[in-house]
Amino acid sequence: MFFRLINHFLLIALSLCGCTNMESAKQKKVSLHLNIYTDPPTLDPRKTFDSVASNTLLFLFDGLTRIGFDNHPHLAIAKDVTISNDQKTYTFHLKNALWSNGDLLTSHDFLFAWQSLLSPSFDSPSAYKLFLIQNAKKIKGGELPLSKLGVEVPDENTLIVHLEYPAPYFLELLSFSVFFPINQKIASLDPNWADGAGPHYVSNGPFTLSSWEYENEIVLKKNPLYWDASVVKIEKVNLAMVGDTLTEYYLFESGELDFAGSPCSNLPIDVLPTLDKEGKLGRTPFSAIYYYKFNTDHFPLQNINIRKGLALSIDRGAIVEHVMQVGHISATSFVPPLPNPLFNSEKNLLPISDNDSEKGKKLFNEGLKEEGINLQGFPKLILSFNANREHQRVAEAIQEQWNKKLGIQVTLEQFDWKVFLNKVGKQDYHIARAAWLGEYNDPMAFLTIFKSRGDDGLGADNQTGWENPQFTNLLDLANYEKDPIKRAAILVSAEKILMDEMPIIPIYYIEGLYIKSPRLKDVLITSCGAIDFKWAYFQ
Amino acid sequence: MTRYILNRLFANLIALLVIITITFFLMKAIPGDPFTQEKALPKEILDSLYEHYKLNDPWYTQYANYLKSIVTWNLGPSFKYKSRTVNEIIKSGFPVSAILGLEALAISLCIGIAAGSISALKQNRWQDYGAMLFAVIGISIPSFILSAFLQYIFAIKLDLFPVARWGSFAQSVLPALSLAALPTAFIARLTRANMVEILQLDYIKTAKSKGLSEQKVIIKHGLRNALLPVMTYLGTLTANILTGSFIIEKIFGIPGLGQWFINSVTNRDYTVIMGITVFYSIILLSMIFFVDLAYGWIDPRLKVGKNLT
Repeated sequence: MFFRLINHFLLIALSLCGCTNMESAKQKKVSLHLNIYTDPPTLDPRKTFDSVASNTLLFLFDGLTRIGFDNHPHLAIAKDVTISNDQKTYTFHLKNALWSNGDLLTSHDFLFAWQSLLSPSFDSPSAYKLFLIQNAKKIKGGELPLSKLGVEVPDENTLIVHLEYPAPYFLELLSFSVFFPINQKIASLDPNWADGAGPHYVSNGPFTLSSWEYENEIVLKKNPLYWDASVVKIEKVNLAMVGDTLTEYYLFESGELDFAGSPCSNLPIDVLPTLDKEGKLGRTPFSAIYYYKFNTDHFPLQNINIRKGLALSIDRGAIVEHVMQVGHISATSFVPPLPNPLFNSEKNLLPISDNDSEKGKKLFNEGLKEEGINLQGFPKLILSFNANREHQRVAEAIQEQWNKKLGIQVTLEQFDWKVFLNKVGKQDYHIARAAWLGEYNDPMAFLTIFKSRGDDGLGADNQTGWENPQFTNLLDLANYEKDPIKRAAILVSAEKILMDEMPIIPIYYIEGLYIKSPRLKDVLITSCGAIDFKWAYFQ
Repeated sequence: MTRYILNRLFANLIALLVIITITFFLMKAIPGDPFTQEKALPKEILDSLYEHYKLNDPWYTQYANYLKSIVTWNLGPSFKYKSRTVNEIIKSGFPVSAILGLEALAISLCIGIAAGSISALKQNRWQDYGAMLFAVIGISIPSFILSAFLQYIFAIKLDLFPVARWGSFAQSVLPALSLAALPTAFIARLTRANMVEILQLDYIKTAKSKGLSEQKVIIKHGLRNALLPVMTYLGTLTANILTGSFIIEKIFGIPGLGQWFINSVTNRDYTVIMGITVFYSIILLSMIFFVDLAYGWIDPRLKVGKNLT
């Protein structure tokens, strides 16, 4: 009886999975199956702070600009843009674009979105991204009224933005979800319009939100009212939320997903070498770096030569090849190679070379002499990281390399993610793991971390205690430099100071690793870690 | 009986208050807050967020607010998931975990008790060794390995069940089996150990010598008594299994409640930590309460509220 029951269940099960498989095979040509790893914390563009939400919003919204396959911003909702001579005023005219409910999209929708974001009581961790708009920071801090925001709307079709300083990357920033417009009519009517796939969820991008089943699935449908609808080939998108990398890989293998891996999730590290050998693995260089921070207030790490000695003695090639196994590039500077010719040519000027044991040892010994200590008297250092297999393996490799080459013993300590961030934030560490993904493709997105110590509440990401007035001045100079070539030169010399004083150790530039269905074409993965399926299609 | 129930209810309320208090202070004591993130937030933003979520209030005000939210069962919005309240999270997650849990519970009770009884009856024979070998394996293999193994064999190689996700019955089979493995094995061993002991007791011999059928002796006299320890285990097991397992739900991509136990702590999502802990405590305390009442039904010697002398 029991076995008959089991048999019965198996039959039901078989027929059930049979149905779903056949269904997906029939629709394959125009429907896309993806995994976004977790539920997006919000689908209100103003409240986004993580990549899951911002990547999902790329389906649903279009900003004034959108990043293209060349990693540069292209006009999207904006029809044209005029930039003033001082590069601080941007005048946009809008295309004749519609919201998904048929409303006309106007410049007021942008102003409304930005003003609500900057109102002091609005719940958004990402409002700071607008701080380069004139007076935005003071408005958020409650010092100025909202009406003082440097944005003008002379008519429904025109938007004028005044910046605090010329920022050549402003057009790139405009492609971020925090800069997206919000349908003012709907959002004023229903402040919770974005809480689900109701009739009030109105967007202006390639797709519309058809259903949102929390933690399970989001379904998107092609938006026929999108201004660029003719290039959108996909009719329907299913976004699964499976938070396990091995399961995601299995789902891909069984044909239930068309894409797996970075930037939405990661592939299981054990399958990478095989996938790479079989030629199935896709790789995208990100504008991102994996690095270590020194607490330069901790003895003897205040000594430049000791810091440089430690940094030069690391064999990055070995870490990339043997620890990470597949993907990633040894980092010999802090700013990764950016998809912009202005910042690629002068890389060689930077002083650090990989695995320079001899020079490393020499500098390290000099540093010891300067501090009046010998190797035996070298204080025990702790290398901290957040608990994760990958971080642990990198740390173990570096621990061994330092021990072999410099004769020092460092201890490894791992922490829960937020405990770790808290400790590093309070500068309660010796050496700590860090990573940085540039928000835009400009050295400023990286160098600005170290602009100040952080005591003024500005450089909260610095956390090394390192500060250099010359470096700070160069960054200020770059902020006001209008000539792009001169500006690039200033930024390179600023990075040279950082590398000369070495408050950080660059380890590797991060690459995104993914697999996708061979028939799926034109998926855009940007160097800043966004993934855009607007142009995607099946062959 | 009524007096006993009232006493127990009162004790449970006190226990709940203690749990809430300890959770509140532990939660506040761990470093980091909901807004700690890799890219540190500027002061203006943090101030505005703290103000919005009332994290600037003194601790006793926050504590009083939490108590109030629990009493009114209005657990507040999640800090991370901006479009959801804790009530909604429980309301949508618990039924999913409970369905999966009931499936797993049914599997573990049926197979566990059957295997345990057979082992006890065929003591030291191949049936016994076979069942106990499986039990040891079930206890010692971690669920994430078992799940990955089941996925690989039954979904990838044999293509009998879907790999993961939630929605159809077929999708619930592999997670239910993974979830059931440990309790099945445990129940089997527990049943066997007690059956073996009980089958040697005098009253079984008496029952047999009275001429009762073998089946009746085993089920009515043997099994019923052997199940007492299983009942004890069942209280905590039911509470745990119905509220979901973090690992199984993560691996199979199931939108249940289990994942929130870990994720809310990782995210320092204060309202969710609090709401979920209280919800779990209520279920656990009630299960233990029901088990205590059920003892009386299974074992007449333990009938509550009756003076045995």
